[in-house]
Amino acid sequence: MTIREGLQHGKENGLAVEHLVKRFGPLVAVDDVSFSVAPGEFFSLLGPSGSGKTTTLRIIGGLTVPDEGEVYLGGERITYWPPEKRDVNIVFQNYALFPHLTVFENVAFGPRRRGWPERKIREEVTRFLKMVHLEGYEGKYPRQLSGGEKQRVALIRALIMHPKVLLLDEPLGALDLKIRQELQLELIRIQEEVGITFIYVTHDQGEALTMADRIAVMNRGKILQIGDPKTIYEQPVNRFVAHFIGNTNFFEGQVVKVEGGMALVDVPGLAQIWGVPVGEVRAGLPASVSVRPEKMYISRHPPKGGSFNVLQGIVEDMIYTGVSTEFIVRLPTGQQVRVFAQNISKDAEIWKITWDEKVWVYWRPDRSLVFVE
Amino acid sequence: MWQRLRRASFWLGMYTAMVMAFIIYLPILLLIVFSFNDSKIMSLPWNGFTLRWYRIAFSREDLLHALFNSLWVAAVVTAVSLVLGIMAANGMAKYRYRGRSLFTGYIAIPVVMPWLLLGISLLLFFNVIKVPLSLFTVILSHISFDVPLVAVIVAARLHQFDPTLEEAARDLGAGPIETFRLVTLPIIAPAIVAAGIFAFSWSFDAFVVTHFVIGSQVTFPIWVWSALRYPKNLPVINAVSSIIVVVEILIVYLGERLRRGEGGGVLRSND
Repeated sequence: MTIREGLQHGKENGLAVEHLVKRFGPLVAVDDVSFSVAPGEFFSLLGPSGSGKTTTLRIIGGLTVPDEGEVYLGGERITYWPPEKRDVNIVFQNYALFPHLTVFENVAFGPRRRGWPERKIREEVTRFLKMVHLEGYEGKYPRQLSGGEKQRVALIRALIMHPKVLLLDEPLGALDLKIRQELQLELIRIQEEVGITFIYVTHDQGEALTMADRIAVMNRGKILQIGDPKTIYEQPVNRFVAHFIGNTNFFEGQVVKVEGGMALVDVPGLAQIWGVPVGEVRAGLPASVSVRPEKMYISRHPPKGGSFNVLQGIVEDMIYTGVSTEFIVRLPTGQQVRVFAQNISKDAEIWKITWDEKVWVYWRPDRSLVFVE
Repeated sequence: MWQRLRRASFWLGMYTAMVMAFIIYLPILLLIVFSFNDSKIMSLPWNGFTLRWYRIAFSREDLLHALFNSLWVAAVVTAVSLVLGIMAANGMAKYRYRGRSLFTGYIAIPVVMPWLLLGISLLLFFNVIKVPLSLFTVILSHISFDVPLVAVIVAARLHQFDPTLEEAARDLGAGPIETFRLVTLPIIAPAIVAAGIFAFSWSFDAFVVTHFVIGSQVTFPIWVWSALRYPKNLPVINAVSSIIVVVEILIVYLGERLRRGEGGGVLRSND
């Protein structure tokens, strides 16, 4: 599906935004942002703080009016509709629970505005409280809840409206790691259960990779790449995405030549490294080569045969995590590289590697990417 | 170290309590005690308990008329000041725009303006625009200092108000007016109640400004001022003042309870 077809599809069925622009004084918070989300999809807007992801979310929710561009939902243009008219609900980062209302009244706030009959409100609120394991919390006030409980109430307060799209603004950002991981799984379960489209804003790349069907990576108001987690991780379109998602080793140098779909980069004082060119890679341009730690091998001997990019260095540190071991290797240039080795067997050759030992680090050329920028 | 600190703060507390008792509460207590003294002069010896002064107070037409005027003026002033003051507070606390601090100063300055200056300038103003002096000009004058008072108190509360609560209400289907009624108002209600109490008592107590702009009408403070010229009125003034003191203490107590009861009880919205 091309982007144009995708947008057309989103316009008619799900959600689509086209060429959104929002300026705050001289700052362009959102700069020509377009994407579409299919019904039932778990879509994540991922980026560092100030990348424009929250502003984009607020535009979809109707809390911010864009300077340019359009928002479509289910075939209708809703760009200038007030928030209360949109079939879209938001889970706020700080929960925004009404402090003067009980848990029950907080969750019932939306249904009451819609004029649901009292019986239905009672049934639905009970059902949703049960869904997030908060039975018996009806009469409590928000100040009596823990962070995780507040988050659950905020979630079902929005979900009970059965919106076409649920917007989540860093909903787990303020919670401890353990509760966060618990709620991640719960969110995925709930999303599958209710089948509502989720747009999930986060700065945590791990969270986005785990939860989302598709991810849009944003920086400085622009979308850099949209794709499923695998594509974003394995085929980043530029250095920023490669750097922001996961761990990566970078080598800076100059392109020597491009040949047979591969590029050769000269890294001063180190080596010449082959990699897959991304974008307009030409000889003579400054470039960075990226390679992820888990795609590299580490050994006490140089590789025998095969074509590899090979570097030599000294083991500076080893971090054993049970599942894998991370080696920090210092290269002759002083640069450090990180290499992951899976703990397949306790008798493996790599267990003989120890501190300050001379090692070879190598990988297949098609595992590294070459970016020019 | 801690021991000594605790002892020091204990004595500081005692000292403060004593000073407060001596210069504020003792005079008020004397006022109330002497309102029950069966004597025309306010001094010892104690001549026996009486309710005579209260009976006289409630039978004096001029006093009742003045009291009624004051209550009526204060009620109108409070209502108008609350509406205008809350609107001004919104402008001071909620929105960001150029000249906001200028606007805040512009609204807040009358609160600290000397009464005498305010009174003279209002008198001149009404003269220039040829509005005859009456209770109407009194109401206008009181509004001029009560609106800023309300605005300052409510704005302080709005500053702590989380604007995403209003966004959440809008997002869940409430229109702008419904959002104010169901979310903003209940949350800032304690500040509004406090502002209302202050606004009412400022208007009720206002003597200096009222004196300038009242013409031939009478409010309670004006009546007290003119009645003081005749010493025989003193016990009656005591009696009325005692009632007012007790009523005001009750109102402040109720206001405080409302403020504390935030989230539960009286102010909870149920629809």
